[in-house]
Amino acid sequence: MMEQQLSAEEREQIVRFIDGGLSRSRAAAVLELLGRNEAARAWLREVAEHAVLISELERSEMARRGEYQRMRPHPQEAGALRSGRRWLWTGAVLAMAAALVVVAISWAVAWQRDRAREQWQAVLEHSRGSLQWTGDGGKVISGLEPGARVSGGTLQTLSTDSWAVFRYRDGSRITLAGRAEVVVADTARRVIHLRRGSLSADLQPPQREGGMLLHTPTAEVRVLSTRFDARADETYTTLQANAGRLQVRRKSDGVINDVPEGHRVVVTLRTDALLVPRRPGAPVPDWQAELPECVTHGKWVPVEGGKGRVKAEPLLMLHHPNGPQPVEVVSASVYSCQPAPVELQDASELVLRGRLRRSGRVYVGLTATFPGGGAAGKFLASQPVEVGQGGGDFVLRVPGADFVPLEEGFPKSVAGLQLEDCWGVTCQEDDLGLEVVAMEVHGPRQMARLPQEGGISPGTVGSRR
Amino acid sequence: MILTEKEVLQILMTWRHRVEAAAWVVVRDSHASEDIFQNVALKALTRDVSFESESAVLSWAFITARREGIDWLRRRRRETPEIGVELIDLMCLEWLTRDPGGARVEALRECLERVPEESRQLLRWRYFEGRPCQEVARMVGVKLDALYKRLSRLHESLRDCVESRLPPLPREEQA
Repeated sequence: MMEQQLSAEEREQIVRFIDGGLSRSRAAAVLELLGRNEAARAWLREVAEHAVLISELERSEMARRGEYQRMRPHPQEAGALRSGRRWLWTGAVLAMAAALVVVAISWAVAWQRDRAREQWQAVLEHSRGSLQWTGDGGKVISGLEPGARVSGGTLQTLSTDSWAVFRYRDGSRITLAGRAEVVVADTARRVIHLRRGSLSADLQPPQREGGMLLHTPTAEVRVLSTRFDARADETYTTLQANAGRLQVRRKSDGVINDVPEGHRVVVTLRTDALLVPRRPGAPVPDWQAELPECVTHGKWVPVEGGKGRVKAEPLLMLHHPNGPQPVEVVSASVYSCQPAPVELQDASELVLRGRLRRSGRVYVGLTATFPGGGAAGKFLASQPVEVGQGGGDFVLRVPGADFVPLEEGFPKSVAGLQLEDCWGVTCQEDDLGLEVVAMEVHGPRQMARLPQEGGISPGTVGSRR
Repeated sequence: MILTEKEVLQILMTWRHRVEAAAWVVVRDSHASEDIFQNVALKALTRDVSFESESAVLSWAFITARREGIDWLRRRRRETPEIGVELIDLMCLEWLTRDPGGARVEALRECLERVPEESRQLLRWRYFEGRPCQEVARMVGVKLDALYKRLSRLHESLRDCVESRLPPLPREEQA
């Protein structure tokens, strides 16, 4: 086989291509190069192998480092003082005086900057479920304790029942619910990158330093409000201004618009979509998750001639009372596929239909928000599900009144709250093979209308083979 | 003769990094590629498939990893891969025509462990944390163009380091 050469420039172009940093025409040229040049393909294979192995090494090191490690002070914090000291060694008196002036100015600037940075440094106030912190130095910490600093790194809530609240010195609070990932900047301004998941902010009014900046994969948001909710993934961002307004810039084309109080906007990468804020519709009592559009965790398995089903996928609950607990989860989000909020009542029912490999306990959980916006809490219920030998279909109906809050501070009941997402969970060791074909909320009125399926009454579990 | 589950698993584990790398070419997310490999291994053991030879296992594994990768993209980003299926398959074929790479992977592991911390951090941000180059450039404090150059040189030095630790391949097998 003829050996083909690849220039340094071509290698760099491939690295750019992988990052998505090329124009359409240059990307096409790289694809053409990859098609005709074996050395180019070898280079891409090389980079892919490096990427995979680097990640494996990092995972091994994470496992070796194990649990909680205290963070060292951020190296930038001491930098300004060190640079000031260098001036003390100048010889001449005048130079010394000049140097002292410089030191004084540097110190004043550094002090002001540190003070501003300190103001925007966040600490973890409260958390539940699995949590991981990666500092800018690359240090990975699991099991953060309240009081730990969470500025200058990435905070991840890892499971569907995770919940984390971090607080700034001015009393502003940010709540992450479910699986989310935020990068909290260690800067003299409050800057947060929401890479995925849900975030609710309850902020003190903006000071003269300016409001908070929120970045998501699709939007840049100047926060001019005190309360707002945001949800994001790689392709969309939903923003709701609950008190005050937001200024949104769509990243794909730079279009800017304001989101007034009480309005919501969806920002996608599509430049042909209007960036128009709307008032959320009136709350509705019923909801049926469109599968797979609403699914946030689980594997979609299409079925020939049918609609398909969502197979539970593993997640690790690191902070389970009995030690790390592997579970299998299917979750669906209301916000990714429903324009109107879904109101919950004690007499509402959350219905999970699916299939189990064998009988066992199924947990059903939900995340709720307050009607005026803001994260309200997470709630859980569980029921044993009986299926025949060899497995079978089941319908699990959980009345709203059966859901218990996962934390003391959460509302006692889901009544009057709005559904954000819901999930079905089984313990991996039970090997139930949970598959879900429908996730629904039936409001009190719809429940009255519904015929009883095969003698199954509300609040009970049924199965059919 | 049909391979046993144990034999299939042994083959897959020997080829793990290359199957994961093939998935990475599609999804460009190292955590997703790891999940995809796990799915491939799970399918090989639990689905109604049987294999008569190592090459049959591997052809199936690469194709399944590619399909899983495309599914992952469609589900998560609702996108199709930038690299066409034919090109991915060609790369998989080229992966298959090389040795299993046990020594190569070990050499790469050793080379990565010798990378200076600053460079390792850059690789960690880019590939383990999956941060875009723009963000890594900002964190490192360099311009985007400089970061691409630095990253490219890093990959090059890793490749050279690996090659220096391996016995030379016959000329026709070299890329």
